[in-house]
Amino acid sequence: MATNERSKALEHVWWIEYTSEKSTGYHVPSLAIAKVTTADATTSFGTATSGKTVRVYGSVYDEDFVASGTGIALTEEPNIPTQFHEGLAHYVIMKGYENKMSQDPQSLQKSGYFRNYWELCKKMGTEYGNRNFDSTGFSIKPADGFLM
Amino acid sequence: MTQTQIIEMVQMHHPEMGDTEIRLHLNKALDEFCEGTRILKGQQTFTSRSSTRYYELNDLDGDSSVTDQHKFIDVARVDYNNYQISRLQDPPEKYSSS
Repeated sequence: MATNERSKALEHVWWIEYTSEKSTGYHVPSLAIAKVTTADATTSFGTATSGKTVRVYGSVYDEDFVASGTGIALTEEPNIPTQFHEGLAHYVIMKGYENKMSQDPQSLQKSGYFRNYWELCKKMGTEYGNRNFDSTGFSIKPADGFLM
Repeated sequence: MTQTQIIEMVQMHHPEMGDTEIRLHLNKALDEFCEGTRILKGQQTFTSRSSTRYYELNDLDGDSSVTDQHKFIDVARVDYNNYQISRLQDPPEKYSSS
């Protein structure tokens, strides 16, 4: 029974495709799922069986900062790790100085100062994102040049 | 840091900046950070629908609301009926009619 369920599930495949959004006509990224069947020399990609649970895993955006409603409220923190919260402020400070450049020539220097902080924050964030959270060590047993 | 604390930190440098303008820049920064670092991983569950091949990534459950689920940057894995299924690198050359 379980084998049948497994083989039926494994007949399905997924891919990412841009499809036209009906109301606006813009192309939006969509997850496509198809059931693959083969008969003689023909492979068919039909629609998936309905009513089954589909679970999608991937990288996601954080919620938006909001004054009220759904998102990161005034008293809430973003979901990214705490050490990168200050970097977000550095980005906005940098933008603020960029907007003042026509009035204050020193703003160019100040915006560069905060841009460095922002770039460093992204660099450290990338390292953090690529980190393997399972840091369990392992050892390789030395051998005398032959396999036991 | 809470949103209020971040806004106060910015206003120490730019007291003339309003909350709405700061929030606009903060959201841009947060999106750029998540896109560049891929630091947040998430999963979303929905139910397959009859005669449906495409599921909009930002509205997988098809309820026309994009705020009730994660916004995906990329997809790493898909499970169908609790089994991990294979990814096609490109769309198939020919679809069947059903």
